[in-house]
Amino acid sequence: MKKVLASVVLAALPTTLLADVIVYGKANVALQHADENGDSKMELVSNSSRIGIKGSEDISEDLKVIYQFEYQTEVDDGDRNGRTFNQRNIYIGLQGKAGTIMGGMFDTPLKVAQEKVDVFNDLEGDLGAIFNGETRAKNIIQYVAPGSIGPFSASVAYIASEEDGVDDGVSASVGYAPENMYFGLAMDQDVQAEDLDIMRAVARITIQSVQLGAFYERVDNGIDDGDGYLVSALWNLNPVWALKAQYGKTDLKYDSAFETYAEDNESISIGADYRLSKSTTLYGFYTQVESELESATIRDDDYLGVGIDFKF
Amino acid sequence: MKVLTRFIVAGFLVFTGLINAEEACEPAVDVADSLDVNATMDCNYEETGLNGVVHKLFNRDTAKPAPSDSSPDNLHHADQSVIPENQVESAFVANARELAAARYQLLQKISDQCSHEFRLLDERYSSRDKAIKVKLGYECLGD
Repeated sequence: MKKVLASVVLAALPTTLLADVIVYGKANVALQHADENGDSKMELVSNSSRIGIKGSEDISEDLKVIYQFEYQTEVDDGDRNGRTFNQRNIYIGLQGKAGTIMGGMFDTPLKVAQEKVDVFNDLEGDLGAIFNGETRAKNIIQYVAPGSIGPFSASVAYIASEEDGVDDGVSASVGYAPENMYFGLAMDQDVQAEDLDIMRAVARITIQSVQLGAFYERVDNGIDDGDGYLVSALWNLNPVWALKAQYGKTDLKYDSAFETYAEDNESISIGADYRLSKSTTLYGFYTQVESELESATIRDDDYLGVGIDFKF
Repeated sequence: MKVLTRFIVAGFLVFTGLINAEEACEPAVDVADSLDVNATMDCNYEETGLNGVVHKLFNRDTAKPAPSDSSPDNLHHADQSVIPENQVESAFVANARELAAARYQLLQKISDQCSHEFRLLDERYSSRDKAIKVKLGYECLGD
């Protein structure tokens, strides 16, 4: 009865209410062979599959409300930590000629600054496996410069720790994106952890059918500091096939399992994409990830998989 | 030195000539993931993916007004009061090259919908902040 009533109510809504609403999502599933520190298994994994809704509503000619509600779903086994849906980027904001102010829980400017450099994003070869700073911050309020500044972009965010005695965090980024290129600089202070400062520099260029990416990160946790870098390449052989490769190495990476910083982290990935359509891609990949702690290997993992990515 | 300068300039011109324009609109899920709140202003997702289904599901059809003259000659003239049942529209674009490309993409979209030939019934342009979008009404022939 409730479902019928909801359908009737929705059908009676004026179409103008739906005009600025976008419903979207992605299903990404891979069947992979995982060899993790010598333990082998076959597994079906859901790689950041999600569903979301975003939109805007005009308040006046120069001001509008914007919003986004996005949730992750586990296509493989139905739940994560006992939940069917887990919160991803969610915000509400006001957008005008002077820029956008938004608050909620979403990726920091430092995390977003990676742009398209990570060609194995959301897979085992994701740069988050060896780099710090991949934070979806809670209690974040952010200012984004208006799009009217052309190829330049800038964002600055304040992250409230909501704990007495714990420093609040700051994240900021600037970017320059002329046609087929992108250059970005970003920083985090006390965001992922107290006293953890991160600086990133990112560059991406697309020439004909080839995309090249470079990524540098400097980390200082108040006790130790280190560098990291990543290079990536994606080659569109034709409108259907693409080959890609990525290599990254970092000195320090916070490991939540050991609650300390792993050293000499390394990740290498190769892969291929086959585009069935504009919305559907089949892919295959091989990824190797290694980490050490006090000269002992704590991670020596290999992954070989095939998957499907469907955007809707 | 002059030769070197010319070589560098020529190399730069060749290099920039090799750089192709990226696609105008990415999938909505990728735009959302980028958190680029300035990006969606010029993209129209009303006819794509799940969003297209939702919009069509709750979209009310507008009634077609009867043509004032039903003679065959009248069918060849665009009537502003007749709204074609099938129509596609582009995103807002900022220059002539992008407008031509957008119109071509719409024709490709129509050709995907029609198994045989098709005919344009209506072609409209609207503008916003010096950007223009095109809307094409069509009917499939021979289906």
